Amino acid sequence: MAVDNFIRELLAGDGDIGQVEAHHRVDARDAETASYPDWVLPDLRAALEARGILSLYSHQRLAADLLHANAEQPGKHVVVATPTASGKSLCYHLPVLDRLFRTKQDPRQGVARALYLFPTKALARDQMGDLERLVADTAPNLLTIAVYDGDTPPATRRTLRENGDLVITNPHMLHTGILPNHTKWQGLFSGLEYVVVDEVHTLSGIYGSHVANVLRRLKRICAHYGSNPVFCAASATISNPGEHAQRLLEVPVEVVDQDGSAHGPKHFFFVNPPIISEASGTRVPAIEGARRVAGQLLKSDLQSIYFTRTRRTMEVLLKYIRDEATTQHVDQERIAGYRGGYLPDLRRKIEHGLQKGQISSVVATSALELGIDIGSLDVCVLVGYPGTVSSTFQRAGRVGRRNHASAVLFMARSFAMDQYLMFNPGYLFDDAREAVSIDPDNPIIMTNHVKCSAFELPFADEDVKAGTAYGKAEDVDQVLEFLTEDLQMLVHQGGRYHFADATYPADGVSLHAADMDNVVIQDLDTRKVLAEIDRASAISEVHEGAIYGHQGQQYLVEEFRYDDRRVYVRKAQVDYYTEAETETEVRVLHVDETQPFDSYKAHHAEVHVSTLAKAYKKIRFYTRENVGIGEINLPPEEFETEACILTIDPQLAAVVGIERGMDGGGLKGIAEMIQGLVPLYVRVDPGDVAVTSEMRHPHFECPTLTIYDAMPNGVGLSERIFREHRAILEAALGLVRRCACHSGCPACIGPGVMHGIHGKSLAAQLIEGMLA
Amino acid sequence: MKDLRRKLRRQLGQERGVPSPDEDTSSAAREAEPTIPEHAGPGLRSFLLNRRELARQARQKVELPGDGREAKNEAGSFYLRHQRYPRDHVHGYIGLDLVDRLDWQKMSVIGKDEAFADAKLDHCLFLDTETTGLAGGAGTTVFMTGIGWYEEDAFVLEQVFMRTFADEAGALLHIAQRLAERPMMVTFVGKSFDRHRLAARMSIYKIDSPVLAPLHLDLYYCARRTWGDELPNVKLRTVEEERLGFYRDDDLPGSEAPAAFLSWIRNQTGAIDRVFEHNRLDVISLAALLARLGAS
Repeated sequence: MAVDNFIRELLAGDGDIGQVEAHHRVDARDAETASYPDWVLPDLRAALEARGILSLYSHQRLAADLLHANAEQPGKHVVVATPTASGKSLCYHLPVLDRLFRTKQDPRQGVARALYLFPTKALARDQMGDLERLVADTAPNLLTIAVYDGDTPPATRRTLRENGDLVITNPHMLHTGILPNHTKWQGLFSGLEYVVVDEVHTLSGIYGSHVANVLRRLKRICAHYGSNPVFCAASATISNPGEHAQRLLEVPVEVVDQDGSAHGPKHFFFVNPPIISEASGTRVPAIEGARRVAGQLLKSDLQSIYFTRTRRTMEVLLKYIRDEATTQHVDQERIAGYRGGYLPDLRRKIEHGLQKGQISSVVATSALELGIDIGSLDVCVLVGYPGTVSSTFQRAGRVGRRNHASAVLFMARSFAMDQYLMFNPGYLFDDAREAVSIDPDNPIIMTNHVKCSAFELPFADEDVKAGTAYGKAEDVDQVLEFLTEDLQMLVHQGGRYHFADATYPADGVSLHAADMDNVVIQDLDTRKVLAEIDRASAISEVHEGAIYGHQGQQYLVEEFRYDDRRVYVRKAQVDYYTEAETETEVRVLHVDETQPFDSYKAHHAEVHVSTLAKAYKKIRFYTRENVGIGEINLPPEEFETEACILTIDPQLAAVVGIERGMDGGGLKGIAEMIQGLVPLYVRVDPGDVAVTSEMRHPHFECPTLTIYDAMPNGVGLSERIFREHRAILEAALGLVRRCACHSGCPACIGPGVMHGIHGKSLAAQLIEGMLA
Repeated sequence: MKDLRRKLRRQLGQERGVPSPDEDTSSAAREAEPTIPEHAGPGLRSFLLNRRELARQARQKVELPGDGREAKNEAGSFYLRHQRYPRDHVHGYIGLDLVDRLDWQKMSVIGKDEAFADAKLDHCLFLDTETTGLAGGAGTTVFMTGIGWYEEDAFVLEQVFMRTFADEAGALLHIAQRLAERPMMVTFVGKSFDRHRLAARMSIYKIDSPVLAPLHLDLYYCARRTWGDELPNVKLRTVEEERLGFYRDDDLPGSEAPAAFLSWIRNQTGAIDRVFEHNRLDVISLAALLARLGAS
């Protein structure tokens, strides 16, 4: 039976799962194929044909031809932006491997090397396995493919450095390990012809801005060794692949975004669980619907994937499915969970099990959004809206085999955004994919990397004057002056800026605030390390008394040694899980600058942000009854950062009548809009800044909006918002005025149910008053 | 956009104690002299006196050793101090001519490489570097290299120093040329440290040199194999005292060399003269140590 009919019958047969509010069909499409280019090495082509790849998709051929260099013209820089599982890697493997093999076989053609950058170690290992097989099938023992990351044993590092024809690594390793030691990698850098940067849609916001600077440093080093590589970026489908790749790589790029791969029809079911309470509009939790669907799918031969928004929900759902499997006598080996924090070996095992079809159900977090190869599955269940359109399609892209139908079940939660989508499914399909933006010239990020870059090679005056010293960055002279005169890290002698300091600067510059300081979770019975968790989440997920789920098994946290960053857990048979409540407080430390306006003031300030987990609830599985509470005695997670604070004259608030808004609905609505609009003005991810609103701020004693850099020490986002906040407010006003909705929707202030019936008009009046 | 630097000062300055943009930025050394409390015991007193001395030196212009001169090659000019010691110069209780009894067969055993059996003293270049830090990586600069070799009637010692970064290429080329004449390096922990620092900097200036040549005699490993069980540790200082009978007075600890150089390169202050002395003794110790280890 076709998967769509199976799902239809399943939903019709069990009304308790929920009601199908909408159904959207993405039609099947035949492949647009193309032949192999003539230039491809016959042995490489034979190896691919032996794997069943008898022809290429049109986008693969186009990209490969562009990247390929021949006598008439050098290779062109390319960004490939096509969906999950469309065979993006072949686009660059073809020209890269062809070139590497040819130069190996005939050294008169030169010495060619290639560098692949993947965002995570998991992806790098995945690609490594694939490539090694392909390379061995083409010509055994000719090319050395090397993964160079934190897991590479020190004993083999030297060999890899010297012999790696194709080096696979991640931005972090490039930043702290390879670039600062470029003199040990001369072979790679002097022969570097191709640089592949995969999953560039994940290189967004602050993180992407860091990586753009790491790439500037890479290019300086290539120039030093006389190489000028061709860049290939690969991306999920985003709305601005060309613009993003150009900003990231700072080279002109050709965009390849016409997907030529085939897929069967894909059915999206928008499923709304039954209402429990008419008064509050509360529905049966989405996870309950997912559990029921899983019960039926276990009986079928369909392979399914469940995506949850949080690690905790993932573990809870996994336990439910395991319980269901026990009842049905289904082998537990056929069920798996997958998320960040699991150790690499376990993840490899699960990926493999999925490819081979040994695992039929997997419950995952966003960790499986990336291009890790797990084959194509049949049914995808989204437990709640993933948060962005791009992410929704990345997840949905996990299902759909070439000639078979596939299904995506979106199980809605009671939350506004989910409910909005149930009745406005067009929002997902009407070309609303998010743009990805970065700001490589962010002064703080750039300064940190100019410092690292000066460590790697001195900066010459003539390059600084010509504006070619450091990518397309302007003002490099001022950054160098600052590092020389103020920080005393460089000296300017003989027409060059030299690094003169005892430090290793890359160690002090983290690309991801979250890379550092993981907490290790250890099993007291086996003494083995079970998993890791980032520090910020630790206080609310592995506090003493917490139930930590791992592969569907429950562990009780017995001890959290905060100073050692270690958590000790023991297997426990419990019928509950735990949920901690956190409170975030933003305290003003110092106001740096204030701009007064008629009816409000804008401040740029240093603030202290602390997040405290105070207590947790024990919640019974299935019934969700609250069966107890406990205290959490952990210090708050805190950091200092900068903020832009808008304090509104209480008189304006009174005139507008903002107290009529439900719980400050109008004000909250403005906060929502600012959060959404900030990326248009300051090139960041929405998550890089946080926006809060208070009807009566304890420090300023009036209604306020606080926008702060959501990372320790800040990176100057708030200051730019402070300068440009009026433009942002104007954009918000335009948005709320133009929006045709009645009382708020996700396209403006957020759904009406969140902000009250007057929320929308109050927000508009308030901004009008502020801008007057 | 002249504001950028000002903005950076405010946002990034505090981590290095940079005065805020509004403060006076005259960069006279602000470090106050430590006052010595009257009740201080002798240990504390000498510690504080030493700190006071360092603080004083940090503010004072310092002269390079008078017996050095400016030298030049095709890569540039640099500072070179050239000294000749009689072949029977005595270091601790070792005469450097003890080397005449050197048994290379024995060194091949201690050095765990048969290739040393065919080594020649004429090929040995004793070498010790002073760097801007221990972190490693391309940006750790070798600002001073002491090299030594035996000639018929003398032990020759050269100290190659970069007065400014403009001297670096010339200084490195000089080392490369000496290494071409005598390609076997003799060092103390140089196999894992000094040679890589030189290789990195030479590669930045595109200077070809056998600096990473496989035949490298690292006396640290030799000393550890020979005396590891008898001595509390095999740091150079310990080996000098216990096996060469050489005691240093007022030696600048190697760990303070980077600060001394960074202070020199910015304003010609600091204890660079003491770094020269420290490095000079290191190189002579290398020669004495080889003789002591390998004499039959």
